[in-house]
Amino acid sequence: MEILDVRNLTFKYPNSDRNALSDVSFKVNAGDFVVLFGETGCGKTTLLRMLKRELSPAGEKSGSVTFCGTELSELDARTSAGEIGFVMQKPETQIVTDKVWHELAFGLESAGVSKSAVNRRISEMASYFGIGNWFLRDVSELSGGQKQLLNLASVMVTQPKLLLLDEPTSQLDPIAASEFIATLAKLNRELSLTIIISEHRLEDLFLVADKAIQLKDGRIAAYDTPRAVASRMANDDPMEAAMPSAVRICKALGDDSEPPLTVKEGRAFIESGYGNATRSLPPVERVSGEEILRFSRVFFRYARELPDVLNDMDLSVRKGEIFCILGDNASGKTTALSVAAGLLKAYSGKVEVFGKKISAYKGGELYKNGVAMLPQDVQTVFLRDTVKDDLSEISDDFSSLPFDVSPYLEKHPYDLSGGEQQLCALAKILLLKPRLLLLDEPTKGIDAAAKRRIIKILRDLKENGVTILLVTHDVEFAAACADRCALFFNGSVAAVEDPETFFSENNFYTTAASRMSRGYYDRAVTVENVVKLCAENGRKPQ
Amino acid sequence: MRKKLSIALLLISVPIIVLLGFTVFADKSYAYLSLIIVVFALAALFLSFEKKENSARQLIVIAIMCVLSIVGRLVFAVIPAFKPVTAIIILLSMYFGGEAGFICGAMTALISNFYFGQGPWTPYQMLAWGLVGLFAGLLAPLLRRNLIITCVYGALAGVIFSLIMDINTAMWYTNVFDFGVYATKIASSLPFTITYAVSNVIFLLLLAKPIGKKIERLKIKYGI
Amino acid sequence: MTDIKRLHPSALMLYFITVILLPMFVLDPVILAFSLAGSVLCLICVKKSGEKSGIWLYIILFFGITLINPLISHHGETELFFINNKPVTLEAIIYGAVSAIMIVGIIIWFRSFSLVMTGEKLLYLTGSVLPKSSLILCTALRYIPLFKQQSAKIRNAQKAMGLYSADNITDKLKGSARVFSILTTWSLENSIDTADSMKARGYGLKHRKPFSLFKYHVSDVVFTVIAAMLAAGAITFAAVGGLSMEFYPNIVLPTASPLIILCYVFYGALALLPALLELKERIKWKYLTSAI
Ligand SMILES: Nc1ncnc2c1ncn2[C@@H]1O[C@H](COP(=O)(O)OP(=O)(O)OP(=O)(O)O)[C@@H](O)[C@H]1O
Ligand SMILES: Nc1ncnc2c1ncn2[C@@H]1O[C@H](COP(=O)(O)OP(=O)(O)OP(=O)(O)O)[C@@H](O)[C@H]1O
Ligand SMILES: [Mg+2]
Ligand SMILES: [Mg+2]
Repeated sequence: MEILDVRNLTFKYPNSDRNALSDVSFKVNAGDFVVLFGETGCGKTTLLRMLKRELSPAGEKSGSVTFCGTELSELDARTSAGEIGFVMQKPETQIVTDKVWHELAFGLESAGVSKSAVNRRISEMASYFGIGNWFLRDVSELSGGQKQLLNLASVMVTQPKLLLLDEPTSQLDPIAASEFIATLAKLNRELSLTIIISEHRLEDLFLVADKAIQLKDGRIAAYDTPRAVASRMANDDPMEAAMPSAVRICKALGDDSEPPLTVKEGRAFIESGYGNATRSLPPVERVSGEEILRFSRVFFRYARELPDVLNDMDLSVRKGEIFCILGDNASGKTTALSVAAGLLKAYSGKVEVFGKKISAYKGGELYKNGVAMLPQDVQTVFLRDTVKDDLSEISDDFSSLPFDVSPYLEKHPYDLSGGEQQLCALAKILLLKPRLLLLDEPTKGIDAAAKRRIIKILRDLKENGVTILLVTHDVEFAAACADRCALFFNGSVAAVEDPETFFSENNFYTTAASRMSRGYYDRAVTVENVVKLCAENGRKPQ
Repeated sequence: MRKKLSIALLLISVPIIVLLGFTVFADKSYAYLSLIIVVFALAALFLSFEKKENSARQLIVIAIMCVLSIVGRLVFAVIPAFKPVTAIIILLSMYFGGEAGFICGAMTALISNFYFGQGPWTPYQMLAWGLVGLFAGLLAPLLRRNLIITCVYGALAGVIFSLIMDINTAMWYTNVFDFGVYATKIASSLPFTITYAVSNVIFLLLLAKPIGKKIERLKIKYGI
Repeated sequence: MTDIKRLHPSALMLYFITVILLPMFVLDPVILAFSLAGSVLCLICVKKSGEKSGIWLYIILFFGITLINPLISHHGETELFFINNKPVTLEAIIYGAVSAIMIVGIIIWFRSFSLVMTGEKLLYLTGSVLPKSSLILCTALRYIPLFKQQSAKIRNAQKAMGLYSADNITDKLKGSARVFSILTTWSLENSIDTADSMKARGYGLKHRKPFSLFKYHVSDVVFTVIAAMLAAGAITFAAVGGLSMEFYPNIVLPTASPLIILCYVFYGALALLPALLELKERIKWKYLTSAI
């Protein structure tokens, strides 16, 4: 039975001259898990919001959306609020109240459910989601992952039939993100909840989804099972880069057969199809210059009575390298970068930048000397009413930028989509022409094609002698661009390694390509590595 | 239901106790009488706000403006009487109406006093700032037309605020209502009154355009 | 019964209203002494161990109010000396001191009140009568810390780009103004998400039922009944017994009739209730731990 029927849906924002959605038609069966993907700005958020009446943006709309056989606009208010749930991208801002228990109860309060029923339902939900331990806490004390889980749980209390999620895992670390997706899969399986989720990272989602929808410029480009969508994906499609690693390996090798999807299938595909006489690629040569940034025995805490966030941290970053730090949410990565940028002061230990103690730089000297930082929350970079004004605070010469910002110049920074904000913020930082660049999660919220561009930009900067220290949750990205990687754990960096060693020895903080080729090839951690090795070994005779 | 009952009980019993006490201890309770009047006025105004239709977005915008004025009060805590609070309340009323301004004013007093100290003066402050917002809402068409009128209103609002707070101090600290005492109090707090008025004008001049622009932007972008 | 922090919000509200009622009515030294003592003990019970008591503030306030009155009011027979040809009288000073005790006592009660009545409890009380105002209160309380955090983040982000950190004062002011301006935009726009999330979860439907974890226990009922009886008794006895003190033209202390003594006993018990509760809890706790 179909739960949702969208027919010829077209939508235009009031101050825009082109359609954000054009002629979108699709049906979703009850109990389906649907993943929605496409480039930044293709209309994913707009489409999801059109499916939830309370959140539909104002503008010109035509076409129809039917939920369980009733036109959305004719749905009873109570049904519409309770049976269609929505989880948004930012974990922080969609929380309404200040206590966890109250947040859980909010939807039921609105529905006018009696006190004892509310009590029962939120207790049950809390134990299902493992919230029991922090049920009475203030929401401000929760980590990003906990906040997003709370958002999901507080939508689930009203027992929705359809759950819409808009990039819910973009701020989560790889482990929290895959746990979140596993929770969704469990809800889908156990409660036969219909789910539509939009995401940029598809590696995990393609495995659990029943259907995938690709949007392109506000139109549906593909709607089928993930496997079929993946196999029909054209090689020159920008979204090809977002496909699961197994698919990309298969396609890059020019194989036209049905592509493998899971890690297991990918491994079978490689092992049955390609030899492994050559087990590894020649080691990448990495030159490293003098030490640019150095932490020795650094301790930091936010307040006297709080625990140490940096705990005996040692770190050494050398000239001209890209150094990636990975780690859990709330482990202290941002804190470490802020200490390196001189924004926070360690209470014990030594931090040296360009061979000089960081405390010896007075006033803005450090930043005039070529240290610049892209903060995690890129909205904090913008102060002015247009992107142009903002960039001009640094320099008027935009031609030196490695990418084109002209489409955004006249816009208000807050009107850009998440991915576009990320690019403009990076542009502002690059105008400073830094020698040591600190980047905090530069790829969150951007699509796979833009990510490729950022990798290229970072590599070019490196060629020009810029040193880059970056923090990321995106293992694929780290594997593709890092010279050295480190895992942040327990307040300091554990084991600094080159990416090949790092990812081929990790079990969870690792790429799908590495998991797929492990034991068959050595030290192949990116799709490119695996493809190269396969191509070099050639096909096995059938 | 039980909760409703207990609250209703509170709402009924308090005034009864108060009135009872009042007839018995007839004299010298001016402070008390004025406090009761203030509390009742506040209650009536809050209830009338509750009756209005407001979307979730409007409520949240009001809350955010409260945050702005509270933070403003905290930031300028070191300079006595020089605060952006009144200016922000007036600006909110101009765009979202008097009720919104009233709530913003009253909430600012209530919440910021959690930092500055609660006391019998809290209700007076709530009423004083609330009324500034309420009247600004009534005059909104006029105020929106011309910045000079807004500033004149701001200066006036500073004076009214000061007068209301003087009633509070005069009565609480001497427990009599006597025009002589009141006059002394007004005279002694003249510097504050002037600072209130001047700071309101300064902040209105500084904030009117940028905040007006932001609210307009919000109205267009989100259709509030 | 439990300690005062764990009482039901409406029991708490009732207690604090009744306990400041009598001292506001009557300027009677005994009642005021009880009120002051009770308020101080209550504050000691409810404040966290590390927290400042702010005792100096209260002392300054006390002397301030005591001294203001004789300067404004010149009633009374016993003229001590003259300032600006106006007499300063003993009665006026004593009146000032007594009302200072009243005000300081009430302020300390308010202080305990705001420590005990957390945002959560306040919202519970106002939630069903004033749902919208409560929502505004709740959101504002949530956004104040967020606002401060974001302000620090923006400053840091700008500093790390080498902007606005010069020692030049106009640059600094300009920077602060711009940060405040963008913070306004930030909070307004991000709060729209919050509003949307509320709406998506059915805010604005009819027949909203506020939920809370607070339960009315037997102990709350007992506490409420006791407090109400003590308060009613004290007020009645004070009224019937004619409790009042006169200051002008000269000081007349209230005469100690049995009714008035009863009034003192009732009010004293009421004012010391939180302290007694705490004492009982401590004894019980001691007994319990010794049994472990
Ligand atoms: N309020 C708005 N007013 C005008 N145009 C808008 C508005 N919101 C979005 N758009 C435009 O509509 C298009 C679709 O935007 P939408 O936010 O749906 O993209 P998206 O696929 O969710 O992107 P992302 O992956 O970055 O989240 C974009 O071109 C965007 O610039
Ligand atoms: N301003 C602050 N005051 C107090 N504690 C803080 C502050 N900022 C961060 N913390 C705490 O310090 C710890 C580390 O936070 P940090 O932001 O560095 O983590 P992170 O590794 O960057 O996490 P994420 O991956 O979510 O960005 C967390 O427990 C956090 O709660
Ligand atoms: Mg989006
Ligand atoms: Mg971080």
